[in-house]
Amino acid sequence: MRAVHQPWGNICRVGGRVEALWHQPSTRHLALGILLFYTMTLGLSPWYAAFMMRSHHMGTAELGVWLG
Amino acid sequence: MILGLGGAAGVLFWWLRGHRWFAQDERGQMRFVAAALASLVPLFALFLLLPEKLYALIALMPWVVLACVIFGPAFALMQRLVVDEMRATTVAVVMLLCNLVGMGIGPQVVGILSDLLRPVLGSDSLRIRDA
Repeated sequence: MRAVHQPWGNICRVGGRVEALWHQPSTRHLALGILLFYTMTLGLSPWYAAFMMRSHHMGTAELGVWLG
Repeated sequence: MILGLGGAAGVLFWWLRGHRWFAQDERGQMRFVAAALASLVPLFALFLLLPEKLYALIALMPWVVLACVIFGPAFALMQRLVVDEMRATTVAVVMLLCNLVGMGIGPQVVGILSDLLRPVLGSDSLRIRDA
C-alpha cells in the first residue's frame, strides 16, 4: 500500500512529544529558563540604541559602528 | 561591533575552551551557566548607570559575551535529557517558542514598562526600567 503523507498525524506526534517534554521536570525547567532568557535578551537588544541615544546623546552613525 | 564580535567571542569561547573545563559534567556546566547569568546583573547595571558613554559600551561587551556563552551548554544539555529520537524535535520546539515568545513579547514588554515609568522618571525611564 502506498504511504500517504499525513500532516495532521505529524502535528499530533509533535504534540505528544511536547507533552512528554513538559512532564519531565528537568526539560521543563531548562526550556522555561531558556525561554525567559531569550525573552530578556531579545526584549532588551532593540533598546540599547534607544538608551544610548537618549542617555548619552549618541548619533545613529556612531551607534551603528559600536553596536553593530 | 559589540553585538557581533561579542556574540561570536562568547560562542567561540565555549567551543574552544569552555566545554573542556566541564567534560562529562553536566552539573558543572549548569553551575557555570548559573554563574554567568548571575554576573549579567551587575554588568548590565554598570552599562546603564555609568555616566561616560565609552565606559558604558565597554561594560556592555562582557555582558554580550557572557550572554552568548550559555547557549552552548544549555542546548547541549537539552538534547542530552531526551531520547535520541526526540533531539531534533525538542530543539525545534524550544527554538520556535523562544522566537515566538521572546522576540514577539520581549521588546513589547520592555516598551510598555518604559511608557508606564515615564510619568515617574521622565526621560530616565529607559535607564531605570532596565536597571
